[in-house]
Amino acid sequence: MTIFAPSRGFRRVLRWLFVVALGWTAGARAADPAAPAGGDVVTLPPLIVEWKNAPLRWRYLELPGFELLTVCGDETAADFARRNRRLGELLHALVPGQFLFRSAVPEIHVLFNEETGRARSQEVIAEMVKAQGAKVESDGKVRLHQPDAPLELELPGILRGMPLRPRQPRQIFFLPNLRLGDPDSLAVFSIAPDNTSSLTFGYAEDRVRFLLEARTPALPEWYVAGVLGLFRRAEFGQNEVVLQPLIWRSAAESRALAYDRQRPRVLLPVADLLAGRRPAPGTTLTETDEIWAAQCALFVRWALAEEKGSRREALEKFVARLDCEAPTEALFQECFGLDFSDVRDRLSDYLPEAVDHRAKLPVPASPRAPKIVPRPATAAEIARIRGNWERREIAYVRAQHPYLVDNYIAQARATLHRAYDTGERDPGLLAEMALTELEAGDPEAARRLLEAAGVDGLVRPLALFELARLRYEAVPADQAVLTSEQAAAVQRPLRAALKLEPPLRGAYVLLAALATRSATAPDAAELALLAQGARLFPQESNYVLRAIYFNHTGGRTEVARELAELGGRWADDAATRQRFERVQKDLAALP
Amino acid sequence: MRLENFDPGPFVTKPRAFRGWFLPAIFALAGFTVVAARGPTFEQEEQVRAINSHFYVGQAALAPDGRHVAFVLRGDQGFELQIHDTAQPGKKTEARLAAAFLTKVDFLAWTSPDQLVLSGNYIQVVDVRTGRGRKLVDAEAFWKSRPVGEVPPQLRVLGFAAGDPQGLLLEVSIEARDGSVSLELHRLDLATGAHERKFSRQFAHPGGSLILDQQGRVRVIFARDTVPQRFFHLAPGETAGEKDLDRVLPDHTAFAFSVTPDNFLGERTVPLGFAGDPQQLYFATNRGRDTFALQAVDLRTGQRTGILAEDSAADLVDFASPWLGTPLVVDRARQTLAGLRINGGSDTRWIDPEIAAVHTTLLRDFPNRTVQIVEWDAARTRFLVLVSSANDPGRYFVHDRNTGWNTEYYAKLPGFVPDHRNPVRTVVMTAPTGGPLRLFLTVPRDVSATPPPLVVWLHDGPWARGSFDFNRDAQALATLGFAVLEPNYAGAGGEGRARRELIRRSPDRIPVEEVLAAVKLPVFHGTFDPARVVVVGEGYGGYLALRALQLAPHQFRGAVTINAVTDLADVWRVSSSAPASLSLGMSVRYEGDPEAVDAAAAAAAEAAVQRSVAMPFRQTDFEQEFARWMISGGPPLADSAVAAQAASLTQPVLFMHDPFIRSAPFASLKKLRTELKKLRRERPYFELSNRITRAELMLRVGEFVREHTDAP
Repeated sequence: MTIFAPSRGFRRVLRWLFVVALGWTAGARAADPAAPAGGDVVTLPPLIVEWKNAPLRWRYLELPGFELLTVCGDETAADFARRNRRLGELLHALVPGQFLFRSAVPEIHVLFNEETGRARSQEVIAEMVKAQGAKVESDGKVRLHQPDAPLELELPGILRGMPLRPRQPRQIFFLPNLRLGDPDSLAVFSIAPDNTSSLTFGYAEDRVRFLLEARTPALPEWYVAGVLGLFRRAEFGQNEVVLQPLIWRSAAESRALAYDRQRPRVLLPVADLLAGRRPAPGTTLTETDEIWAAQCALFVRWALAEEKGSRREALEKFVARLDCEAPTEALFQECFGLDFSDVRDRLSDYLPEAVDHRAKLPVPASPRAPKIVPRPATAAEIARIRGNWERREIAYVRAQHPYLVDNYIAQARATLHRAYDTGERDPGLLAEMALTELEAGDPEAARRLLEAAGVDGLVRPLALFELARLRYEAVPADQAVLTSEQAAAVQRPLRAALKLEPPLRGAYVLLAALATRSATAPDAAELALLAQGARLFPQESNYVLRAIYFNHTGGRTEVARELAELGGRWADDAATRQRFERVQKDLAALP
Repeated sequence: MRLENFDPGPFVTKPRAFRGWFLPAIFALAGFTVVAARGPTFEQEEQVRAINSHFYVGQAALAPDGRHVAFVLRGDQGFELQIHDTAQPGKKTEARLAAAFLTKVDFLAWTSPDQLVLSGNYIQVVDVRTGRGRKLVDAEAFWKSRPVGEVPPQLRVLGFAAGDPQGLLLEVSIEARDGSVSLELHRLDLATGAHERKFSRQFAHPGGSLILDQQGRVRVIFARDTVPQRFFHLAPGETAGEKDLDRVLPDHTAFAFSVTPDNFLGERTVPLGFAGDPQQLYFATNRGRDTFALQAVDLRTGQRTGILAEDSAADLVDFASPWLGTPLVVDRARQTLAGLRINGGSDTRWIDPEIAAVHTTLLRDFPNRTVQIVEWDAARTRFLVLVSSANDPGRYFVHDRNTGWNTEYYAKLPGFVPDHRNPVRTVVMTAPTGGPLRLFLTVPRDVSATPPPLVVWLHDGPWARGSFDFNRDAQALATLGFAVLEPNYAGAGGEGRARRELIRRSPDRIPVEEVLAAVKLPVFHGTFDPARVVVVGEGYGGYLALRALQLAPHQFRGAVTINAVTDLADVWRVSSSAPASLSLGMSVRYEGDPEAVDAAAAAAAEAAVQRSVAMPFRQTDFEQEFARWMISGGPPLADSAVAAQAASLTQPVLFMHDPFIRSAPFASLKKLRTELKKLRRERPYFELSNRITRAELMLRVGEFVREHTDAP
C-alpha cells in the first residue's frame, strides 16, 4: 500500500512523501484471462505514446551503470541522476556493495514528468500515483495531496499498527515509480516534477529489498532482515545517514527500555538468530518472529554503529564467509572475536542505547561527481530504452491481464522497429528485439536477431544465455550426445554469459545439461564453473548434485565433498537432506 | 601502632597513602636511580575497581508457582527488593525492606506466593502485597538469650522443612570463651518471630556441622574435634541417641566415613544429605577410585545404589566440608534428588532427567557458559537461571520451557561490561609427575604487538583450587595488561586423590616444577612473554611464590606475596598451645572490604578481627595428628623453609600482609625480612587491612609487575 504526505503538486517541494514502490501492485487483481467487466479498473503499467503532431522531447544521460531517458528538463534530469548516484553511495553506509545486486547491464530509468496525459493507460498512471498518495486530474496532470496527519501504514510485521511518523527529513520524498526487473537488470519508470530547484528523494524499502534479495549467492536471511529493519529507521540526507532510535518490538516497549535500561528483555540465542528465516509474506507473525526481526536489526545496527569500524569489518567478513560456509560459532568467533554468548550479552547491553539514541553512520566519501549533462537522445537510444521498458511490461501484463498482452507486444515491437527499420543494427537494440520476440513466443525470430547481434556484440548475460539456450534447444531432442561443434556453439555464448554479472541460475543449469550431453568429460575450467554455480545457487539441489557428480568423476573429490556439505546445508526438505548425507558419506569413504 | 618494633624497610607504603592513580616517584637509596613508575590508565583503574565492586544482585528467588521472581539488589541507597511478574517481566514492584542497617543478604526464599523471607544481618519477612518488610530476629537475639560467649553467635539459614514454609530452620553456632561451641538447630516462626531450639550439641572446638533431612530433623552430626573425626547418625523415630555412622551400616569398611589423618587426603566417604527419604543417605566416595563420585545408601538395609554421578577427571564434591554448602539439589515440590552442585561451584550434575534436558537446552542457548539452574517452579515450566563464565559473574534469566525464551533480568556486576572482559581458557596438560594439571589462562583483551608479561597466580592452598568460575583477580590483572596463569598445582582439591596427595611428597618442589612446566607449554607460545614472569601467591600460594624464586630465580622477575605463609612449620604445627594457622582446608582469602564504602562497616570488620585475635583459634587434636602425619611422610620442613634459605632469595619481592591474619603468622614474615635485611636485601612491604580494598591491592600488584617486567 502506498502512502505519503504533503505538498501541493510537483512544482512545489514535496514533503513527507513516502512510497512503497510497487506497493500498488499488491492490490492488483489476480490474473484473469477474461476481459474485465465494464467499470472495472484495469491496472496496467504505463505506455508512452508519441503524438505525431507533438513529439516528446527525449533527453538522454549516461553514467556508469546508469542510463536515463527522460522528457523532463535538464536540471531535473541531472538532479535525478545525481541524487540517484548519491543514494547508491549512501546505501553503502548500510550495506557494502558486495552484498547488493550487481549487474553488467546499466540500470535503465525512464523519467517521465507530469505530462502524464501523454501516456496511454491513464487509468494505470492514475492507479499508480493514487496508490502512492497522489491523483491524476482531468487534465492528465498529477496532483499530490497535502496530508493532515501522519498516516497509518499498512506494513507487515513489527511496524503494524504503529503510528508512523514520516521518517524522511524535510525536502526528501519518494517518487511515484514502478520497477520491473529482468534476471540480469533493472528498469524503473518514475514520474518526477519538472522545473524544480532541488530534486531530493530517497530509496523505497522495496528497492533495497530487491537489491539484497537478488544478490547472488543469496544473503543470509538474518542479514537481509537486519538491513531492512535498519533501513526503515534510516534517514538519508545529502551527506549523512542517520539511524533513528531502534524500535524494539513496539514503540511502547522501546520507550520503556529507554526509560529503564534494566528492564527485562528477551533475546534469542545467537544460533537461532543466525538460523532464523523471514516469515513468508502474509503469514501471521509470532512473538518469536517479532523478536527475531528486531534482533536482526539490533545486531546489524550494533555492528555498523560502532565508531572504530572494527565490528563493521567483522560483519562484512562474516557475511562474506557465509557465502560458502555455515554460520558456526567458530566462524563467528574468527570474525568478531566473540562467541555467541558474548555477542548476546553485548546486544542485550546495547539495546537500551539503541532504542534511546540516534546513530550516525560513517558515510563513504563521495567521489568527485562526473559532469552530468543530458543530451538529446538518439533514435536508437529512444527505441532501445523505451523498447526495453515496454518489453518488460509484457511479462507483467501477461501475469495480470493476459487478454491485453498482444497490445503490449505490438507496442514494444513498434517502438523497437522504429529504429531497426531505419537501418539501426546496434547489438543492444537487436538483443532487446530478441528478448521481445521471446516474450512474444517466437524463439526462431529471437535466435535470428541474437545471431545477428553476434556473441561478441552482446554484453548482457541474459541475451548471451538466451542465445546459448536457443542453440542448445535447436539440437534435436533425440540426439543424445552433442557433436563437438554443437557443444562449442552453445558453450561460447554460455561462457561469455558466465563471465558477466549477475550470475544466472539458468546459465549454470544449462552448463550442467550441456556437460551431461557432451561427448567429452568437462575440462578443469568447466568443472570449476560447475562448482562455482553450486556455490552461487546452493539451494538448487539437483544442480548441486550434478556439480558434485562431475567434480567427483573429474577427480576433484575435495570439491565434491565441499559441495555435498553445502548442498546438505541448503536442502529444503528431509529427503533431499538425506540424499546429500548419503553422498557425503560415500565421498567421505573415498581416499 | 601495628608496625611497632618492626622496621618496614625503605619501601613502606602505608595503606591510606596508596592511590592507584597516583604515580609515585620511586626513591632509591644511595646509588640507585630515581625511576618514575608507569601507572595504569584512569580507565584501567576504573575497570579494576568495577571488577572488584559488590555484586549488584545479592540474591534471587523464583516463586514456587513460577509467577514471580524476586531479586535483592544493591543500590546506591542500600539493598532493595524487586519483584517481577514473570508473565509480564516489565511489570515489577519494589518492596521496602525493614528499616535497619543492612550490609549483606545471604538468603532469600519464597514462603508463599505473597511472602518472602530474607536473611542478612538479620532475618525479615516481606509481604509482597504491601511491599513492606518486617524484621524478625538477628544473631544478637540468640546471643542475648544465651550469654555464654564473647563472640556473637553465627547464624546460618538452612531453609525449610518439607511442608512447613512458615518455619525457617537456622543453624546457630555459639562460641564460648574457652573455645567450645554449642551448635544448635532453631525453628524460627515467620509469623510470630518466635524461635524454638530443636536440637543442640556441644563441641570442644568450632567446626562441627549438622546434616538435616528434608523434614528438618538432624540426621547426621559431624564432630571435627575428635581423632578420628566422626559422623554420628540420629535415626528417625529413635531416641537411642547418636550412633557412629560407620557402625550403622553393616559393611562399614566399605564406607570409611570417619576421617583419620591417613585418609583425610585419601580414600574415604563423605555424607552429603538426604532427599525425600530420611533413610536414603547420599554420599560421595572415592573408595577404590581417584575421584569422588555420588552414591546413596539405605541406612536401614545397607543397600547402596550404583554410581549416580561421577567424573573421572574431577571430584564431584569438595572433599573437606562439602555439606557446608548445599551440594544436593532437591526438587522442593517433589522432594526428590534433582542434582549435585559440583565441587561447591556453580556447575551441576543433574540426576533428574527432566531437569537435565532443560539444562542441555540452556547450554545450547548459552554456549561456552556455565549455566546454573537455581530454582524452578512446581510445574517445571519456569526456571531461574544464572549464566556465568570465567570472565563474567553472570546474569539472571528466567527460562520458560513453553516458549523457549530466556528473559534476562539483572547482571550480577553490571559495571563490568562485556567489552571489558578478558578472555579465559582452560588447558589441561600432563604434569611433570604425571596426571593432569589444569591451568586457567586469562589474557588481556586488547591484543598488542608484543606478548604481555605473565603473572603466575598461585592460589591459597594447599587444597584450594582454581575453577572456571568468575575470577576477579585474574580479570583485574589482565585489565592492567598482564596475562594471568593460574595452575591447579599439586595438592589442589577437586582434582582427585592422586594430585591431592602429592603435596605430602613435596610441599614446594613439585608445585614449582609444575609452574615451570606450565609456563613453557608450547600451546602458550606467543600468548605471553615467558621471559617476563612475575609470580604472585596468596597464603600457601605466597609461600610457593617465594620458593619459586629460590628454586628457579632466573625464571622469574620477582614475586608478590599476599598474606604468605613463610614457614611451613606454621602450617604443619604440632602444638596445641600455638594458634593454628591452617584449619584443614578452610583457608582464608584476603578480601578486604570490596569497596570500603562505609567507615562503619570497615570499623565493624576491624572489631571482628580484634575479637578473633582475642580468642585464638587453637588446633584440635586432629589437626595436630594430621600435621604429624604430613611431616612424617615428607621431606624435613627445614628443607623447605623460606627464611632459612633467605640468601637464595635474590629477586625483587613485594610483601603484602595483614599482621592480624591468623592463617599466615606475621612473626614468620618479620623473621624473613630481618634475614633479608641482614643480607642488605630489603624488600618493600605493604600492609593490608580491612580498609584496603581488593582493587587497591590488585593495582599495587600491577604496579609491581609493571615495574619489574618493563611493561608500558
